[in-house]
This record gives sequence, structure tokens and C-alpha cells, in this order.
Amino acid sequence: MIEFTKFSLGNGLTVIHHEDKATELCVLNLLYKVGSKNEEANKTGFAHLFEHLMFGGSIHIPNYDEPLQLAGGENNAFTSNDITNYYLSLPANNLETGFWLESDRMLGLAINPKSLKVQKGVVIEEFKERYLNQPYGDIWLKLLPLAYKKHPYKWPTIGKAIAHIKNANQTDVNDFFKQNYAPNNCILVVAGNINLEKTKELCNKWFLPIPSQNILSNPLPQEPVQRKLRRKTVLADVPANLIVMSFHMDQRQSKNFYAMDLLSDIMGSGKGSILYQELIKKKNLFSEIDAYITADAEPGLFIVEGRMLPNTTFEMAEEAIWIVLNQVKSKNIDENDLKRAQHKNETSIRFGDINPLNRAMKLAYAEYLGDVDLVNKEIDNYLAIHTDDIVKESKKVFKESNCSILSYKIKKDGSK
Amino acid sequence: MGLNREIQPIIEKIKSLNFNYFEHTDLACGSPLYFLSGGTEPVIKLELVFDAGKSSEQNTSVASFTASMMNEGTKTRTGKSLIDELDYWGAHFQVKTFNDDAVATLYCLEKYLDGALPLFIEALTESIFPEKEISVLKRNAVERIKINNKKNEYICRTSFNELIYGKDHPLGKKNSVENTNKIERNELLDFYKANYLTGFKYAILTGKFNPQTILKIQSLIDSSSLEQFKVNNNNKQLPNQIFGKHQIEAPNKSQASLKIGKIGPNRKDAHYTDFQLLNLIFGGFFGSRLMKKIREDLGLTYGIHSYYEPGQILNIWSIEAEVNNKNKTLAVTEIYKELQKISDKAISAKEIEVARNYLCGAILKSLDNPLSMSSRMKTHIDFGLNADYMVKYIDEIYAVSSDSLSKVAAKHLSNEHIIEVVVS
Repeated sequence: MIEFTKFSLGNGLTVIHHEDKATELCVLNLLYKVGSKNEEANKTGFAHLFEHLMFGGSIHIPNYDEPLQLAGGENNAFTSNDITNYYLSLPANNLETGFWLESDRMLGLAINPKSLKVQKGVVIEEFKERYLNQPYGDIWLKLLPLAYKKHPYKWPTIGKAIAHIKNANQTDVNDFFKQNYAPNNCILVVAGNINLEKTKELCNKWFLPIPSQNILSNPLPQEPVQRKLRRKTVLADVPANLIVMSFHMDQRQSKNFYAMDLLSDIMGSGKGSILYQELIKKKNLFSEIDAYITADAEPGLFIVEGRMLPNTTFEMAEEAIWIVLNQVKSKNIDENDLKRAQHKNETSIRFGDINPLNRAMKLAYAEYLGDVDLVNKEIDNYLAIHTDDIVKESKKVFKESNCSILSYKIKKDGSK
Repeated sequence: MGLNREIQPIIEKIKSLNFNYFEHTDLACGSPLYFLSGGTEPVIKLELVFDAGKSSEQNTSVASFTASMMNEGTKTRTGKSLIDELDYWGAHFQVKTFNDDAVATLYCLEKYLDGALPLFIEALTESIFPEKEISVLKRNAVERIKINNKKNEYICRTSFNELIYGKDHPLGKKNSVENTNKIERNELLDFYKANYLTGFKYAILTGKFNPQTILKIQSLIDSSSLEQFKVNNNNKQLPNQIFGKHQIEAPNKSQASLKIGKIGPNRKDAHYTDFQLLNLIFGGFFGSRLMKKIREDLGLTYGIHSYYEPGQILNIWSIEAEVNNKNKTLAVTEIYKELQKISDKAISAKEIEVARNYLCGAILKSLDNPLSMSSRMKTHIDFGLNADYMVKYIDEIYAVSSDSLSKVAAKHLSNEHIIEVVVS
């Protein structure tokens, strides 16, 4: 049970306090409600580039990292389709440095042309390191625009192309900050060895003076229902053929989400899973195969991804995966398979909760989804799923017309 | 009353370390079971450590293959039913191979330990290594090697190891499709018997548990066939370095991969703490000189780090990065300039203070939850550190000075005996 108190400041900042006397540390987690889905189609990768710029110094503090390190602290951040999340941890007696740093960069940034140029360089190298510098690294760059036609999930967090990052200018940066970085677009979690009173005192001192902003929330374009099978083939210098099949699924807050999450475990997690047993061990078609969900805030994807053995053709691979999917749809899921997935889930949630930082992140994200209580309801939400729920939902999801197939093919010498 | 945002709030020294020393009990075979209970969540992590590291293998991949075969079937259960039963208890285990040892770890909730624990012990002690599963494993491993050989970073790291350990040393030998195809069941079985069944070193139990749990674990291990590892000095081969610069053709040209390093001081060296801090300042954290120069000033990389890894065979200190291919020469030149600078010029008190406080905070963090505690415990056990070591260590960190760092830099970070690998 994760205990917490939620309150908000006059400027619209939502604060969640979570006390843990067993730790010597304190954690601040700031979730800004902006992700790559809020970007314009011709300026993608911006939310993430901006995450880097947030470390380039703020109005009153020229350097973010050094004072934090001086206080014995550590920090990092990540950007997803939905949010940008910043977190730091400090020895509890030095927590105020965290408040000082985070409130100042919420107040305003001091981005100069040099830091913008350097961070663009860094992000471009990140783009290459993660997406281009390894076999299959650009799967998401290819798959997302196939699966999504309207919704901004159609580009990955890093951006559609390096050119978008190269073209970012100072005006874009200033506009983006004003649009998105304000107390009323943020969720602050204060966790660790600190009491509620002290939390309130520090929040009032450092965050309350920051004025709220007019946050424009343009409704996102909704993804129309997919009506027919989509295919794309990519030729690349890879050692083995790979197939990715993706299906649209229900939104994060629905019961169906939990059903499909469990199904992805039953199908694709570990040596006991259906795909491993059927397609690697019995049919000898793949060297690796996995099923997982994207778990975004808005309707995401259920994905089956398999790396094929040299003698397996794309036709054989696809047919074999459909056989497994159709079995799930037609037969009832084995009760024991479901129980195993539920128990494994409980274990992984409990292990995740060991760390105060994880708890803080979970609290912020649950609040973002609209229900901070979710942090204590998730295990029950998974336990409430029956085999019928899974079968019913998989009939809706595993349809050819709802499927996008990416074939990643070995490029033979001479072909382009 | 105005708020002054320009001045950093007052910083305090770390008050106390939340470090309760662990206890131990001796198992019937002679190996100890170390344990420490704490935290808020009712979880269990049980680690069994074996003398089954990569440095003990004769042929490449034998150690990691043996580890992977542990969940592929026992005398009474198929691999599938073993995993299904463990899954039922929401538990899982993995056997990981390191240079110096191998660690089998069970993760489970305390309420399901009775169900999961016997399965875990059975997997470790009664594995049967079925031919069919070995061939599946081989086939998949071959596919993975093909993928790794397309990765600059992998080629860079394995080439560096080959140079620093020597191409015939278990830690230097490169993996290949041919070698993997040649692995035989008998080899794995021999390794299993010698390095697992009679190679059990000790166990570590962490998480939140009651005293009965310790007794249960003890009695289950006692009734198994595990035998204590007996020190055997002649099976570890000596390394043999080839220094110098090495350029390797990359399969992928989008970035260059580099690794530059040398032999560092050992864990018991009088200057160990100085070297830790020196490494931190040079390239060991986000505020390091390398990060500031190569990433934050020049924008040539997403990340650059230096690592200090004291081991049982070699203590390696090295720099790793993926850098902009066009400017790789600039990056390498700048790295050597930084290396020169840290030996030649005194490090400022401010720079030392930042690194020192950061390190103290990181230590506090590493003692913060029962699971991260287990790796701290393992270091204590492997290097024979006392209960008061942590307190002394903090004192030593505070005693580091600009002078002591300069001396250590001149001795250990000179240009001599460097191995440089660039894959581009």
C-alpha cells in the first residue's frame, strides 16, 4: 500500500506527498504533461530535444547539474509519447537544493545559441546511437507511420527525421517552453524521508510564486478505425529476417487494457510462453519471438515481433503467428496460464515498489492518467481479469483488417 | 521578504549511513548463507554464487551455455513444467555469468517462497541438459552472434578484451559461430559438475523476511547435493596484453565506437579511494570532464564514460563512447588532451568537492533498498571487507586532496601501456 496526500497550489501545480521514513533520501519527480504527441507534424522530436535543453541553465542558475551533485544528488529525465518526466534524488537533509533547481527552471530557461547548437548535436548522436547504429534499430521509425495514419503516435519520440532536430531554432524553443512548462501543466511528487508539513512549506516557498500560464490544449487528431491490412517491406543490412505484426488495442484505463497486457505475457514472456513453445521449440521457425504492448496513455498497439531462422520464409512466419493468434481467439485461454501471468505481474509490481523513486514516478503517472489511486489498485485490476475477457477482446483485436505487418528483409548484395 | 533564487540553499554533510551490517550462518556443506532483512515490500531475493564464471571455461560460451541450460529440465520435470510451476508462484530465476563467478538469483514474494524455493534448488542441482534443448540454444546463440557482429560497440568491446587479456585467455577469446556449433553436451555437463555442483561459494538473502525463512532456505540447501567450492589455483590462466592503437573496419558507419583503457590499481591498493574519485572526475559521472568536453562542449556524443572495474584477474580502467564518425579524430585527440591535463594540472578544490559529495550521495543511494544492498554485500564478501569498512571509506573520501589525486593520476593515468580500439 502506497500512502500519499494530494494537494494543489494556487498556481495550479498538483503536488503529491509520499513519506517513507525508512530511507535516508528524498525524491522529486516532476511530470510535465507534454510528450511527442503534442508536437507539430513538421517539428517532431521537439519534446525530447527540449528535455535536453532543460539542463542548459535557468534564469537564476547557470548550471543545473553541478549544484545538485554538490548536494550529493543525482538526476535524470525521459520523454515519451505522452509526457516529459524529470526526477532527482538527494540525501534528505539537502532536499531544498532540489526545490531551488526545479522551481527555477519551471520559472524560465536561459538557453543560448551555443547550448542549443550543442544539444542538437547531442540529440542527433542519440538518434544515431539508438536508431541507426544497430541492426533493426529503426523499427519504430518504420512501424509507427504504418500503424498510425492520423494520430501523432505515428512518429517516435526521437522524431521523424534528423532534419527536424537540425532545424529547431531559438523561437521554436521559447514558444515550446511557454506552451508547456508551467505549474498548471505539471505534477510534482515529493517522496522519501520528509513530512507533509515540510513538503508544503517548501512547495509554497519555491513553487507558489511561479505564475500559471494559459495552456492551450488542442484536441489530438483521433486515429480512425483501421479497415484493411497494411504491409511494408524494408530491405536492410541485417543478419536475419524479422517480422513485426501490430494491432490497435483499447485505451490505458479500460479493462481491456489489462486483459491484453496479461495476454502479451501469456503469449510472449519467457521460455514458458506460447510463442516460444510453439514457434521456437516445436516448429523451429524463429530464433527469438516476443509479444508486448506499447502501453501508451491513449489507445496503443499489441505487437508480435519475431526474428526468423535462415530457412523460414515470411509466408511461413506469418502463417504460424496467425495460427497462434487464432487459437487464442477460438479456444479458451488456459486458466493456469492466466493465473501464472497474474502472479508474475504481482511480483513485478511489488519489486518495482521497493524503490522510493519508482513509487514517486508511479504516483505521478497515475495522477496523469487521471486516478492517483491507481497505484494501489493495479494488482487487483489484473487479478479481476477472467479468461473470457481475454478471449472476447482478442477476437476484436486480432483481425486481419486491424493488423499492420512490417517485414524486415535481408538486403542481398546488389539490391537497393 | 523576497526569495533569493541566485543562492543555493545550505548543503550539509552526509549525517549517517543507513548501513546495518549483514549476518551469516554456515550451511552444512561449509558455505555461508549471508542475510539482511529490510525494506517495506514483502519480497525475497536469494542469490547462490558459484565458481562458474567465464574465466573458468576452457572453450568460449561453455560458462554461459551451462547457465542457460539450468531451466531446461531436471530429473523429474521438463523445462516447460519447471517454468510453469515457478510462474504459478509468480517467481522467476536467472543464472548470470560474470568474469569471476556465476550467480543464480531467485526473485519471489515471501508468501510464495514455499512453492518456489524447492523448484529453484532442483533446477540448480538436478539439471539434465537434454540434447534437444542444447541444439535449440545453439541455434539461437548462432543467430545472436550474427547480430552482435553487426554492432560496432560489440566488436569494439570484444576486440579490447582480446588485446588486454590475450586471444587465448578465456576472457579474451572471441566468440564465433564455429565455436558455438562445436559445443558438446559432455563439455557442459563437466562444467556443471565441477563449477556448480562442487563449486558453490556462498548464498546471499535480501528482501523483507522473517527468521523462519532463513531456516527454510538453510534446510533446503543442506538437503541438496551442492558441495562447497574448494580453492583451486591452477585453473586460472594468466593474461597477456598487447598495447597500442588498433583501427577496425566498422559494419555500420553512422557512428564510430571507441574504447581506450589500461590496467588500473587493484581493490586493496592504498590509493583505491583516490583512484575511485579520480575516475569519477575524469569520466565517471554526468558532471565529469569527459562529459563536459566531448558531449556538453563539442556535442560529439550522446554519452562518454570511463569505468573502473577491479576484478579477480585484471583491474581494468577504460573509456567508452559512440561518437560522431566524421569527427572521431577530434574526439580521440580531445580525450588524450584531457588525460594529459588531469596528470599535469592540479584539480581544484571545488571540482573535488562536487565529485566527493556526489559519490557520498551515490553510496547512500546504493544502501537505500534491500535489493541494491545485496550487491554491496557481495563486494564486501568477495574482497573480504570488514563491518566498519563503509564508515572508513567515507572518511577516506573526505581525506582525498588535490595532491593525492595528482600523484595517483601521474602513476595510473599516464600515456603508457594504453590500449586503444576504434571501430569506424
